[in-house]
Amino acid sequence: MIDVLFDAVVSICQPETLLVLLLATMASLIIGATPGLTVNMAVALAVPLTMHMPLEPSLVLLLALYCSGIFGGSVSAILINAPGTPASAATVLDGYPLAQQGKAGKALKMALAASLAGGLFSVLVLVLISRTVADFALLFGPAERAALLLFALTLVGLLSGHSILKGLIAGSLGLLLSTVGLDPMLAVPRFTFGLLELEDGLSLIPVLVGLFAISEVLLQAETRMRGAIGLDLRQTHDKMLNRLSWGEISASARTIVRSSLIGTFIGILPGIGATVASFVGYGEAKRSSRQPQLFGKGSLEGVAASEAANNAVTGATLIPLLALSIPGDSVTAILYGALLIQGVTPGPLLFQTGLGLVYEIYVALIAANLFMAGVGLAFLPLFRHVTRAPARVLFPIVFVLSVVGAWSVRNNAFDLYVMMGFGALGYVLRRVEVPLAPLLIAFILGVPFEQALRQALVSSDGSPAVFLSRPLSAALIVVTVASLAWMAWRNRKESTA
Amino acid sequence: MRSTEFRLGIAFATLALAALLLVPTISNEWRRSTIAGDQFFTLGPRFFPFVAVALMGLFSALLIVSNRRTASRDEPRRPLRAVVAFFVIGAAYVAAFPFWGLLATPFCLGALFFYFGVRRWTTLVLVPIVTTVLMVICFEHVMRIPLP
Repeated sequence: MIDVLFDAVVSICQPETLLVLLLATMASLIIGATPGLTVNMAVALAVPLTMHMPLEPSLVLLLALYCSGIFGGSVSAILINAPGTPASAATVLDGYPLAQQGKAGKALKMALAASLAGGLFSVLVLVLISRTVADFALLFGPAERAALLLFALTLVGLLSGHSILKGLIAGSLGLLLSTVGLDPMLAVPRFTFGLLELEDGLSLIPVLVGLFAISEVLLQAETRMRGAIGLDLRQTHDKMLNRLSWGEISASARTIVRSSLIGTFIGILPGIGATVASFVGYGEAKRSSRQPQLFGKGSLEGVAASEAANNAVTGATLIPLLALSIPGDSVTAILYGALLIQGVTPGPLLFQTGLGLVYEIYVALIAANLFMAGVGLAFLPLFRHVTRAPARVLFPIVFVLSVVGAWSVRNNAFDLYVMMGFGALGYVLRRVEVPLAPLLIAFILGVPFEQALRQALVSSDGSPAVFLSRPLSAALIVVTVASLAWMAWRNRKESTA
Repeated sequence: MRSTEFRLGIAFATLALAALLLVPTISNEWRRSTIAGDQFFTLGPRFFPFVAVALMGLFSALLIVSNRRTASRDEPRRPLRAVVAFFVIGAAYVAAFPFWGLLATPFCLGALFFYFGVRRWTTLVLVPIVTTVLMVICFEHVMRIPLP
């Protein structure tokens, strides 16, 4: 075990990998700090680059973008009252009032400390429980796999947006899109319309670049990219006001630990994500605080609560991804795709055949969190410039980078058309508030779900009773139906209230 | 005026119906060319697309039914002109990219900057050229990714 860990540390500490980590951390802090540029978009744009990189730098690039991007979102939340990522929306509530009081530096340092603590805590939980979960998952047959994937897809559909039905429709559209190409069991073409380019299915990278990057650029175009980003910066240079003392950190320590636990728990569940975690962490901190009256007026505890919770999601979402092969949100779905492209299939077998890689992921996550803290601290004086980036220059550059990224996958014009098509689809869906996460996750999990479902049904001569005759799959089916019924009941109650 | 949700339900139901009509176009020849289906039970390639289409149709119908009496909210009309302009310039760039390669990039960037109101010539000329040069260096020379 120790030798595997040592090998992982050595491979992540190679100079070129560390350089990638440094650059990725810097880039993701800038991207996260820029409202409109989301972590999803950054990770989606980075995936084409990873195709031409060795495995370790690829992992480091994507994980650093993920971890630091979430913290980066707090920068603009604190400085300009505009969360850089949705996960930082709760940070606005206390971060911006602190900035108005001339304590932007203090708020940013607290956000950084809480993000580091939350991120490292969730990595610890990942290390401690993912092996156990994976060992348990090895006992799964096709019926259990199909039931588990059905449960995950249902949960993602139910929890990803404001409307249950829209989430479920997005999920079913994702499943339908996953059937394009050759049938995985009999190699019969489906929905290919005679196009050879579609026989391998819709290529993942153009799909996700279109859904996340192009749709965001089109949404920004609605406002004609006016003004943009830096509007009202109130960070002062008063060193006394902006110093964060140990006393202030220790006063928030309980909040940080509680929020880390909340974020980790929410991160393990598919479909909920960092935004919900930060609000739950914030709400719980306010409820149990000795000074709840300060919340919303510039409470350091409030900043610590939301930031610890949203960063605690980053490591936790990798538990279902690595152990069960289930991505819980859009970013982990993109990470899943990137691993597949690298020839690595996440899932319980990875812990048997590729333990070294699992340890490399652990070490890369720890390194990404530490680099986030170091680079974040060094970047604090520069953040004011980042938040002033003009959108009308930034988003056209994002667009051409998307085109070049989609092209670089297979040097194929067809992929560009797919990217534009999915960009338009993503734009329309976001305008009508249909969540994209269920669509992407169902698109990625569609093929394994179909295989497991068909294998289970074939083994039982077509009888669906196979799902109820095995205890675990029966339990999962019951939980799935119960989740659907509970959410439908809650939705109905809310709409009649 | 019906609500957005109602119209969305109709749109997805139509999509599901169109996909349902396409499912029978998936070949069933595998039954003749393999022993599967003759000697033991199996599920063909139409099974899963049918499941996905059926789910989409079901959820769309539920969306229609649950919003059949909801009136349209008074939402401000979103300006679509700039989106269409962006899409058209972008589509022209995508069409030119395989033939012109990165040579098309500064023109695309310049056109987008101009459309969205950039008038300083340094930004209009220098930023597209510098961005293109950086992309060539980054993709072709550092990462060895061939570009057209």
